Amino acid sequence: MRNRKSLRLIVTLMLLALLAAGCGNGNNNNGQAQGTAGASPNAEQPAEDVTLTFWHHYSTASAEEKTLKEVLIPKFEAEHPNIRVNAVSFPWDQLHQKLQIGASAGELPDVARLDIIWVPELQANDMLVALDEKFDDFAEVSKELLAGPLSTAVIGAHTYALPLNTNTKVLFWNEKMFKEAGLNQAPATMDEFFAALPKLKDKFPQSWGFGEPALRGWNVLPWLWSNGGDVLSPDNTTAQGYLNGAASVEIATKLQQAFSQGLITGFKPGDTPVTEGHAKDVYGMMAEGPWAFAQFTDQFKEFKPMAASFPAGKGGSVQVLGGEDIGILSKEHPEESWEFVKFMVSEAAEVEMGKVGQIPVNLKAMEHPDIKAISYFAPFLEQLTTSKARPPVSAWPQIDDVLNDAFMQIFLQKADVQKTLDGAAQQIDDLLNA
Amino acid sequence: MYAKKLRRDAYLFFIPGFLFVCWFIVYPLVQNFLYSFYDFRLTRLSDKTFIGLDNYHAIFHEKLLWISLRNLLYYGLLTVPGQMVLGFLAAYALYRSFPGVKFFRAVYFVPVVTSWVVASLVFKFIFTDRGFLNYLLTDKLHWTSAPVSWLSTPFLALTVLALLGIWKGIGWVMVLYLAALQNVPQSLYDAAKVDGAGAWQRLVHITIPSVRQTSSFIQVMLIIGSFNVFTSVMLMTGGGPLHETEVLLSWMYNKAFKHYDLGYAAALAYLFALPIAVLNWLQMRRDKESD
Repeated sequence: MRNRKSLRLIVTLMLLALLAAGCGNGNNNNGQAQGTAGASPNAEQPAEDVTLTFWHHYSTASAEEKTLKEVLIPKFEAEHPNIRVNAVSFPWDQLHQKLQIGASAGELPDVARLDIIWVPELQANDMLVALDEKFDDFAEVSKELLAGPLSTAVIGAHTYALPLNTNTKVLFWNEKMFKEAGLNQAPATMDEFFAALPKLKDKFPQSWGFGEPALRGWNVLPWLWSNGGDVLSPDNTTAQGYLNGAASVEIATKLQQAFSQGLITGFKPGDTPVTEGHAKDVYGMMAEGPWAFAQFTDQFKEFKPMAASFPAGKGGSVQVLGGEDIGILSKEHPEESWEFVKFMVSEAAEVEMGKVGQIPVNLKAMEHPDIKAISYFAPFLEQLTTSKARPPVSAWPQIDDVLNDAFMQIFLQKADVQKTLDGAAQQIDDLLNA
Repeated sequence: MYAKKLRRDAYLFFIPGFLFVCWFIVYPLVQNFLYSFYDFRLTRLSDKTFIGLDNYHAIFHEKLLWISLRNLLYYGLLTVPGQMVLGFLAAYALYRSFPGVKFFRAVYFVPVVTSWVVASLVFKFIFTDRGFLNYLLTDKLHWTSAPVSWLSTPFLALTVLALLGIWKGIGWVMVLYLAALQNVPQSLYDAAKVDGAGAWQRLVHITIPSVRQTSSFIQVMLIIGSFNVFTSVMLMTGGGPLHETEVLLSWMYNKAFKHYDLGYAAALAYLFALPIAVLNWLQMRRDKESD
């Protein structure tokens, strides 16, 4: 009898435990595993001790995240003893997904590092705090920052983020391969670029003249722009006559021919990763950002990277403007979040991040001797003078998919360039009018 | 009285497991079925609209349906017979006792316990354009003048995926056949030998018919397995280029977690659970009949 009673007690306890487990709330934050502190983003904190959650995509492979966690956050926390920062790292694409889903699930960070192309989309979903409206010292802070990158966060009458760093791509050329192929310098024009490709192939039949890691807007826009083409009209209302215009079709056709002759690749499954391949003499040239220097320094110490401006066509040497903004999503701790944002765009923080390859946007940081001493910034700073931002439309992520599919068809399926771009322009117009 | 108490105690034992199954399996299954009739987005969790059969309708008008079905058929046609034949041969070679047999059995079984992620990355390394195989074919043997694009040519990529599937599955098939072969009565072989049957005749007329039930079980399980191919596709081709190596699960994953269309993904899950359910039912019926 006693045994039976104990048995019933055990079973009842098990049931209770099961129910408790089943009814457990879903407040767990998936990103906690990588965080520097354990608090939930929405956890109730006493007013004098606030924990901010900061989602970012600083590279964990290079020194960027290390600088954030070991230099910047401890410095901020020392200056603001009542604020702790829980920095959570994600890969770039996952951060975008987390932000999109987090809005729906009610699990957003207080502050996030945002690719400049996400800002219009997040603002359209009412996720970002209008900084100029909310904070009195906004003008004072923003005047310390470069106007071009700052404009990436201006939508309508308000500014929804501050620029954190800027970047663009330049042409990297493999000096050893060029010399052996009888070429002395990087191609300055599109004509020189297309002339150099077969020479590199002749000397290195197992290699390619140029590596392009993907076929999204980030990759194809510089080709279109530099040849005088575009994806959208200047007012961003249509792709008709631009993506399928003569200049765009002409450069897409040239690139298609180069691909079919085995002169360019890098975007197919099975291709050698482009930056690694450039250092290993697989790709004679590539267009990449300043982070490539960090990768060469870390992984290919013997390789001597050479950078030059992107080849100029009829439209000039026009690269795509990249970079990150920092925005506030916090409904609970906007004031503390603003303190962190101001710290991250301050001269001291920008100089520290500059040392690990992030081109600063703080005017004083740009003049700092430590930044001036970084020689590989020079070609990027020159290229930035002609770089253009991707169109600030909220449908850009979907337009990116359309571009990728269209150019994949052009290259891999040898699709008719004009017809494919006509179809893509129509799809983009549908997205713009949705 | 005692029997009644016993029955009550039996229920007490049964209920926790039952609740567990209800909460973690039945409830999600039912909920998922209901979601398949909604426009339900991961980005708008609190705002779902009932749309009837629209998700199912959309699936049948999607080009990817036919691409992923074609790919699954091709994958299944290569992997199911491939694993069965090679697994059977391995079992046939290793079911008798001889020095070192345990070592060889273990070696054949290693791929089964190897992680799909690790195996996929190793295969990717072998089959990339500048990978090990192209190095052999182009640089060492000079059989091809330019590297073969294994992973970006759709049918080659699917063949590579199938090779990985076969390599991973031989050990599992071998273990099942090893068990089945142990149960074939030795007297049958002895009688056949007396009647003058050679090794080939004994294999065809005794061994293979004797393990027919195991073969049918393996076949159904492998067909179900081929419907579930996912990790290797995501890691080696990502379904690309241009969705040409997409399979059902990769398509479903992309719909749910890249396009955030949970309703559509739920409909896909149910649509493709059907053939698996039918296969299972056929297998169970066949087992029952042969019992």
